[in-house]
Amino acid sequence: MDLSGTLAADLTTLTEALGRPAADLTDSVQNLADSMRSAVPSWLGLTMTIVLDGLPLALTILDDSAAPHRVATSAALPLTSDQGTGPGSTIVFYAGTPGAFVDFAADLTFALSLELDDVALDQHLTPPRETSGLSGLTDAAGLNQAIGILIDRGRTQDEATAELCRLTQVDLTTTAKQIIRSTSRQPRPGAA
Amino acid sequence: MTQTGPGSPEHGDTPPPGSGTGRSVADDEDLRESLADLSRLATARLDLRDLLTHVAGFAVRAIPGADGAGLTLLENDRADTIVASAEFVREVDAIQYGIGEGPCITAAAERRTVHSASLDKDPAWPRFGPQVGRLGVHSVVSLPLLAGDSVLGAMNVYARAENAFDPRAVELGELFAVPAAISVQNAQALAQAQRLAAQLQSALTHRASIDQALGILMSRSGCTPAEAFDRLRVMSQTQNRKASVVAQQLLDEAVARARARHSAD
Repeated sequence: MDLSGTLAADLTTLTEALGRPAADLTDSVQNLADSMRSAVPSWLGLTMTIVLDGLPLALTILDDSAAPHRVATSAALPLTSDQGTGPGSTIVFYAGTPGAFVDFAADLTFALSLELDDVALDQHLTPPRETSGLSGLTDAAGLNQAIGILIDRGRTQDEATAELCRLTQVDLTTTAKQIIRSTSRQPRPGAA
Repeated sequence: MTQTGPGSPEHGDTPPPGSGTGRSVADDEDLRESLADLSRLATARLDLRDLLTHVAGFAVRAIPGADGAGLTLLENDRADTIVASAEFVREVDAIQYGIGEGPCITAAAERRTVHSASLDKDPAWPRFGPQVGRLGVHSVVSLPLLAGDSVLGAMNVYARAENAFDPRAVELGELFAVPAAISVQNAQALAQAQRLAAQLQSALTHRASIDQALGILMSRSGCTPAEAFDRLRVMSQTQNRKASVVAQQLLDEAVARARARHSAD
C-alpha cells in the first residue's frame, strides 16, 4: 500500500489541522489496512467518503496499482452519526475473492444494529480512483475560502453559505472559484 | 510453564469434548453457551472495550476452574487495549505489563498457549510469578488470539487455586479462543474504521475554519490562497500560536464584526 506522495502530504495537512499530537491519520489508515488484511485475506482496499456541509471527501486506499482491476467483491455500509459524520457518509471495502465479505458484513450488520439491506454487497466493484488518494479536498478548500471572503464582506457563516447557494448557477464549487478569482488582486482600501 | 497446543503431549492426552463424565458434559454445555453468547454479542451495539470485556466474561464461564479473565489487544506490537472481567485480573495484568513479563506476553510473542499450575514457583516468569502469588493468584492459562499470520493479542484466564486448570480446561480454552479471535478481529477492524472516520471528520471541520480564515485574508489583501496561507503561517510564528488557533481567532473576530453590523442595521 502506497501512502506516499500527494496522499501523504494531504494526510499530514489534515493531521496538522486536527491539532492533536496523539492522532496521526497516516497511522490510522495503516492500522485499519493491517486489520482489514488480517480479517479478510483477499482485502484490496477501501473508500471512505465523509460528507461535510454537503461536500463529499473521499479517501481511497488501494493495496497496489493492480488492485482496482482485481476487485471481485465489495461491501458498502453507511457511517452513522455515532462517528460524528454527516448524512451520506459511507465506507466501501474491496476484496479479490468472491464472497469474501459475507461473514464480515454479517458481523458489521449486527455490530452497528443495521438492517441487512444497509450493507450493500458487490454494488461498488470499481473504486473511484486508480490509485490511493483523497478526492474533494481542493473543492472543500475553495468553498470555505469563498465563505471566508463573504464573511469578511459582512455575512455570517450561515448567510455566506446561503449566498453561495443563491449565487450558484453551475455548481457550488464553481461559484466558490469565481468569488475567489474576483477577490484576488483587488485589495480593499484600508484593509489589514 | 507448560506448553500446549496441537502436537504437544498434553494436547494428545486430552479426551475430546463430550466424551464421558458428567463433569465433561457440564463443561461442554458451559462452552456451548459461551460460544452462543459470543455469536450474539454483536447484537448489543458495543464498543470495542465493552465487547472485549464480554468476551473475557464468557471465557470465565467456558473454561472450568477460571475465576477471572483478561483480554489484551496489540497494536503495533504493543499492548493497546486491556480489559478484565474482575478487579483482581486488572491488578495481575497491571503487574504483568508494568514489568514487561508474564504469560500473556509470552503467549502473544510466541503464538502458543501457555499455562502454569503454580505461578509463584514458575521459573518462566521469575519476577511476575512471586508478585501475583502474593496476591493469591496461582494458576493461569494464556491463549493467543490468532488471525491468519498475525497475533491480535492474548486472553489470560486466571484462578486463585493451584493446579486449577487440567489439560481438558486448556483444550476448552483453545476451542473458545478461535471464535473469540474472529469476533475480536472484526470488532477491531470496525473500531479502527470508526476512529478514522471520526478523525477525518474532525480534521475537515478544523481545516474548514483555516480555509475560511484564508478567505478573510484574501478578501482583505487581494492575495492568492497560497499567499494567504503564508501570511497565516507568519502570524502563527509571530504570535507563537498554532495556525489553527490564529485562524479560528481571525474567523471569530470577522463573524463578530458581521453580527455587530447586523445588530446596528
